[in-house]
Amino acid sequence: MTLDKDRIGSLIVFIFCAVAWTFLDDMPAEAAFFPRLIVGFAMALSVIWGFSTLWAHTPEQKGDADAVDGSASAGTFMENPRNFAVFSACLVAYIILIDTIGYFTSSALFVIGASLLLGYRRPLVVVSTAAAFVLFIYVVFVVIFERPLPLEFFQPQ
Amino acid sequence: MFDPFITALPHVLTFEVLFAMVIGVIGGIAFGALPGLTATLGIAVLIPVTFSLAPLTGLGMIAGIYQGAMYGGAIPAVLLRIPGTPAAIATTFDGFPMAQQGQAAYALRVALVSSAVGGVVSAIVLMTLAPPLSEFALSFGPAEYFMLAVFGLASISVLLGANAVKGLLSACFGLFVGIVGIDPMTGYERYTFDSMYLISGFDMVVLLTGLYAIPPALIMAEKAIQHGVSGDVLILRKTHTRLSEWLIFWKTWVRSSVIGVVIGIIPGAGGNIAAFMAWNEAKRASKNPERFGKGEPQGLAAAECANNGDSSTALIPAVTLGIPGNAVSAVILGGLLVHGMQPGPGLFRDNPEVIYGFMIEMLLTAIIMLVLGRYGARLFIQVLRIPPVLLSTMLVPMTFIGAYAIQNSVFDIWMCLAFGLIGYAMEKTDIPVAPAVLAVILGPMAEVNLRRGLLIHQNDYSFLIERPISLVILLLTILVCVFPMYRALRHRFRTRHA
Repeated sequence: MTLDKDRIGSLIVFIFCAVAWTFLDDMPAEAAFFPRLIVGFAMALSVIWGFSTLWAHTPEQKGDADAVDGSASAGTFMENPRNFAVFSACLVAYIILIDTIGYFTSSALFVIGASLLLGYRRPLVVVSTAAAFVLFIYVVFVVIFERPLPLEFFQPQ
Repeated sequence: MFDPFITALPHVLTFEVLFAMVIGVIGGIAFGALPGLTATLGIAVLIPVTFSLAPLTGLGMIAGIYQGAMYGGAIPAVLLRIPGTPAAIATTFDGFPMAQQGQAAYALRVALVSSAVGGVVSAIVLMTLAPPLSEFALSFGPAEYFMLAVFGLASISVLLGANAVKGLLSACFGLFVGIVGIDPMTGYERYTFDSMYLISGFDMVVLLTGLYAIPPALIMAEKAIQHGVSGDVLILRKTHTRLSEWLIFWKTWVRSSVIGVVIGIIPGAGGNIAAFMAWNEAKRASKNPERFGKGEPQGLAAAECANNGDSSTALIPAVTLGIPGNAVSAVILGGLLVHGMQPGPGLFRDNPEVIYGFMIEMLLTAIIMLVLGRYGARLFIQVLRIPPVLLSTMLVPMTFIGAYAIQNSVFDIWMCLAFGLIGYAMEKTDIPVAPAVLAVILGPMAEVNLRRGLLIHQNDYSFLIERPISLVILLLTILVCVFPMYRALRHRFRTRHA
């Protein structure tokens, strides 16, 4: 699995570098000088990274030993793809809501919604936590530090 | 030598600044105590809070978070055998066995006092070394600055992780992020895709909060652990320790402070390395080495003293040269930039009361940590009762405030999320994040100085090795890069012939 992760990772980096390289031709030589160094170096590193997985022979080199020390390489890329997908979807919905219904309302909804969707089964605790958290944020950021935050849907624009 | 400190002292000893330091230490201990949340994350998330504060007030809070988090990491390390921060791994060796033997309160107190000793020594070394080093750095030209940036990047990329290629790739990612925006020399837009949001490049705080705060939230959400630590585990028995009982630690403290201080100055080497080395040295020097790892207070004192011993000295290259040696000093550099100060030797000339005041704050927060940790331990450990699943959902809104506060733009929140997902992928593929953060700071510095030098010397690259200091830094860079390769080859040779 480590080998797969590394091979896929190196391939993604290589493709990214190749795409970034194509934009350099449109830049003046002087402005493209440093980006060319970086992108070229990163491309070479991605090739070394990819080939190093082919050279790995021993279990230690392949990363199996990582299973012992608990490094990220040891396990699968995602421990729980369902929870990851749920939380990521909540994050995207949260950002969209921040822009439309305001920071505090969307934050309260995010804390409640994401917790419940991730399987937390104590609604009273979730709701009271969300309320206390939003109040805390309001006091710290709006009252004390006077930071402007996206307006709520019920506030005049 | 002490005149600038005496001038800065009244600016620090105001109610506002002292209060900010206390709040910072409290927040830092709480952050450090929560497994998965680090000092870097704490500072990155709370930097936006300091936007509207006076520089010394904001920096006092940042210093407090830093010192507090370094000690806070010891709390779960002692009670649960889970290091709250990476620097607290060695703390678990003797801290947890002590807790199992019913000495949890004593272990936490040893960790606290040792942390404070390390923090105070480190701050004194910072106050002693930084001013003369900054004067020396005033003579640096483009060649020296370019070489320093390369050295900083190479050392942290190669020394930080187990795989140098991944460390260097992380640095390349940071360098690439750093070039997005207007080219400082020609004014040409690079990788902006005609977006007005990208013209000024990515903001440091957006990158920091994304890379450091979102991945832990995603990982906690993925695990979705529903329960915090049971209250039964978090009961501390009352203990009293006499002054004479603390004196048995003095040799360990001296040895570990020196190790922490020296390791702190080396770019790429962090508190965890210092703690491991100090623990090993304490064991080697002990008459009872067999007790280490089974609940030996000297082992705990060594680890905690060393991991706080590097806290201030890690800032020496950052404040004097503008070269952060580790992730947390990169974040603090970001904090200085937020307050309109350009780290480097000019800082000592242009804002003496702020930079000298900040060094005093590093010292004072170590002492404040001692007082708050002594009387607030029972309260601080209660943060472990928060269910991680709830914590993950609360971490995100706080992070997004930081991203939004930069220029009141939701676009920055999207960027924060994007960097968070990249940070998550990096973590899962064992690519260290710290080189990327450093590269965002060092990249523009390296580029501008290299191009400026080439312009002055008519595209003759030999200017990089003409001056003795830049030549020495180049040799050090080569040494840093070659040494791990030599070590790996030697290891492979020995394994093959064993």
